[in-house]
Amino acid sequence: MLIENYIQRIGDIMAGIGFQLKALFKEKSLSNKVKAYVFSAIVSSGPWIAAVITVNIILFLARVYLDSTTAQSLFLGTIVYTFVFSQILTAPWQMIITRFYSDRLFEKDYASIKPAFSGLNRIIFFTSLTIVIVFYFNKPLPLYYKVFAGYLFILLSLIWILMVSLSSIKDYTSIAMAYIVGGIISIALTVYLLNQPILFPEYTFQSNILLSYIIGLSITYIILMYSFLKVFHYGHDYNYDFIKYLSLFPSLFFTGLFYTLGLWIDDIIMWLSVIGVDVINTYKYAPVYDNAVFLAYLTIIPSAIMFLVIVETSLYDRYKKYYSFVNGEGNLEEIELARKELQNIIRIKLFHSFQVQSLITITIVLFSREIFKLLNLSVLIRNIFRITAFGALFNIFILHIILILLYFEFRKSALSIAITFFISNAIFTTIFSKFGLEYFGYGFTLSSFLSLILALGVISHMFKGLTERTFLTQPLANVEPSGFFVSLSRLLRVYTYSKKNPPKLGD
Amino acid sequence: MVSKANREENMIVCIIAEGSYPYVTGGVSSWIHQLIRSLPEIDFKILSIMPDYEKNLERRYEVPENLKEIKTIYLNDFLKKNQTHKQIKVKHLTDDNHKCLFDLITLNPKGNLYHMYQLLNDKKRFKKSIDLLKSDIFWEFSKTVYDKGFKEENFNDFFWTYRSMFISIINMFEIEAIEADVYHSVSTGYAGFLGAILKYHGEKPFILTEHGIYPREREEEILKAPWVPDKYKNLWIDYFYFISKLSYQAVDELITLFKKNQDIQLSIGAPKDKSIIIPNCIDLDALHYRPYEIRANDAYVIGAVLRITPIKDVMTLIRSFKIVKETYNEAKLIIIGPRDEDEEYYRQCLGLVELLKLKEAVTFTGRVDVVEYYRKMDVLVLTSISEGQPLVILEAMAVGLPVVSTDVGACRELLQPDQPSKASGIITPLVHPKATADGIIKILQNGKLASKFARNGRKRVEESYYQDIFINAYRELYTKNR
Repeated sequence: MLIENYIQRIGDIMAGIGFQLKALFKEKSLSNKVKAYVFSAIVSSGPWIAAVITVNIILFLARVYLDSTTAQSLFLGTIVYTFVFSQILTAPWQMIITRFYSDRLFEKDYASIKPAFSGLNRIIFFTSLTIVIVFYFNKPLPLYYKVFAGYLFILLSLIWILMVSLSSIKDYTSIAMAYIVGGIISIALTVYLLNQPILFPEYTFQSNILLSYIIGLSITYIILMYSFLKVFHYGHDYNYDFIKYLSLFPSLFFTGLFYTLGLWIDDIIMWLSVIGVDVINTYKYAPVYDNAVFLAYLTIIPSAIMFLVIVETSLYDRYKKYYSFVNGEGNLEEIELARKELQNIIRIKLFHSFQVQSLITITIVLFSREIFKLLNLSVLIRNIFRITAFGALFNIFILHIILILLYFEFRKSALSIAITFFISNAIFTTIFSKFGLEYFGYGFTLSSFLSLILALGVISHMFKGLTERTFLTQPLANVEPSGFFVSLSRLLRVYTYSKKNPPKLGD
Repeated sequence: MVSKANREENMIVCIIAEGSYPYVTGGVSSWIHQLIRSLPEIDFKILSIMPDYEKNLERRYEVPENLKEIKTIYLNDFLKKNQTHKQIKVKHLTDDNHKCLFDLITLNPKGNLYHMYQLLNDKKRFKKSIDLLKSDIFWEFSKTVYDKGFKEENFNDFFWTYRSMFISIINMFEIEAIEADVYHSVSTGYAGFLGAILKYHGEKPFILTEHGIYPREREEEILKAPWVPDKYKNLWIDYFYFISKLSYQAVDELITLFKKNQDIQLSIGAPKDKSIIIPNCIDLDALHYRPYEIRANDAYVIGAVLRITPIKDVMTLIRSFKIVKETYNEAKLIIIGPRDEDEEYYRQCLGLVELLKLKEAVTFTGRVDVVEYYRKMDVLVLTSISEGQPLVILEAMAVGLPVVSTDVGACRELLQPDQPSKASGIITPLVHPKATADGIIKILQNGKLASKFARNGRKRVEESYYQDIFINAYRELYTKNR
């Protein structure tokens, strides 16, 4: 009796765990997770490109009216600060919510998408509002400008979240439409308002173009929101269920945080360096450096797109095969063969994409003299661009490797790479900035290079022990998740429930 | 402290039992109860191993005065305990350590249990013993098992089965210590394994009494069991032999009830120099001898005292009774014992009774005072497919009942000792209704033989199976090993 019960119990546990494992790696969840991560990485560059184009056209138009660069710099400072800090604020949450969505979509629990979205929106709204109030409170700017700038920060933060939430819908046309329409409206309004400006007492033109920009961007937001709500217009009332993921996958949150911090820490250090420019005691930024790095990031768009293609095509099939063997269709030999195949394809494809991107980067750098002349940009920017273009090349592959590590649930490894990148970038940028102007950008590039070497080491190590790890890290039995945020989300659930269903008198 | 100075403290014996006392009735449980009650000068603790946590586990025995503590551990709780998701890399392992863990993970019974114990309790290497199952070492070694015997099998199934199998025993390595002067397991298997660990923990002697041969019983059970997938049957059997053999390594005294079992024990690898036989005995005070009387009519009463479980093969009993009834139409069958242990089987038995149209003649009494019923019986039957040294046979012999029993456990030694003239019953093959029926009929037809069996039985019990013999033997064992 005892033994029968015991062995049967083990059978039950196996069944339970087996199911968990399957849920984790099942075809659908797999493709969702992979695509979701990649898409969210890719889409974040979409708004960048749109913003670069829109803002540059606005600036080009403004140049006619605002002759001094200092006049432009207030607008530019607002834009740079808003983009950098809204990214740092939202990137950690983007990782968390991406994972939450892909898990829910796998479970076909569509009713949980919208509540989580609005829950996160509230969190982001109130955090960004607080940041805006604290930041602009004692800045010597007129109130209307502060309101516009604050509005832009909150709006952009919400757009990042919305973009990630749209990743599951993949309505590329609507997204493109949103940015094109928003951009055209911004530009048209700029033209109109520069000719017929609203007569703000101070910083008249800057306020007018900022207003044009935020109106255009609001239109973008509305269109994006519409395409999201078109699909996910329903859901339950439990808005904060997703925050338990902070306890379940804290490393995702910190990977997002440190990778994004790493991306901007060299800029922030440069703002505070000799080339830093102070704008009305509000923004300190380094237009030379920011511009260069900005352009450098634009050069790597091809490999980002190539990566998406790799994941969707060659990687996906092997991944599926490997995990279906792991899930119980294969013996160990088959599992290991599939793993090697998977490892090979990733190595080959990543290397190939690295070659292509290197070629593109080198070509651009070789022709940078001509390109920069055409864009009418200074030699100083070009010098920094030439080195940071290689930094960006290394960096995008760090991101790709981090994403691959995340698909294979190597979250700690991904985090360690993100942290290494952040710390080394801070250190090297500080050191190289001391050597003078001609070494600007070297810190970022060197740290990206070293972090990439580390990432390559980590990923090859990961593949070697992948099967071992996959099996050994499965829990010995089904356990309820626990942690502060799990309890908190449960508490909020109870709270919501009791609010919706107030105890009746006489109960 | 004062009392300690004033008088010598009682000795404490910790009895480790699996799936029995005090929650499940049966031979072993009664045996433990009897042992505790008969040694009032010794304090006892019980460590009872049960499958699952149940809120109100009912104690089936009145707790004797000298039973000071009952601690229950639940095997399946181990499956849930000590969770980590981390992958663990075990460091600082010497070659010997490697070998030791290899033996453990590959279920090699020649491995040294004490070394395993030391290694898994070494906090430098394993924060918790369960970490082993998350370690690179476990991965490597379990793969060798896979490569050797399961290469073509689905790896996922293998790995889960294999790892889950280890959870309980690995957790046992760091079981909470229980203070006692002697540890006494009443079977091998988990109880024996725990006894060995407690011995190492407390550095006190370890006594092991085997009523049956645990791994053999598991083997029979598993081979028949539909709930163990065929390809893993051998693995499970190996596992139970493994844990049983390991516990032999730790014993200071190894006790069996009868010769036949001792032979099997030794063949499995028990240490010969530590092995002794102490048979089960019974309290003769309550069991009055009554010379055999031949019934005037044919309304014979055939009795069986057993738990209604498949291992007792109640089906064969019922079928044999059907055959007996062809000769003695008035005969009755009384089946005495708990019906709730395997209710499914009980229902099947009722079904068979119905099918054979025996409803009028067969009674299932449930739990009752057996002694009362012995008086009503003419012959006692046992059709078990596995037994240790069944007390019910001793009791039947004591009250003067002829016995028909299958050839299992100590039954032959009890009923048919070396001199045929001292026989007190008939031995039949297993699962053989006709043979059992023939035995019964032979006794019922032959009053002279029956009364001879009755006389012989009582005599033999008084000579060799009298309670005091057994009690004295254990008292001596405990004090000797203190």
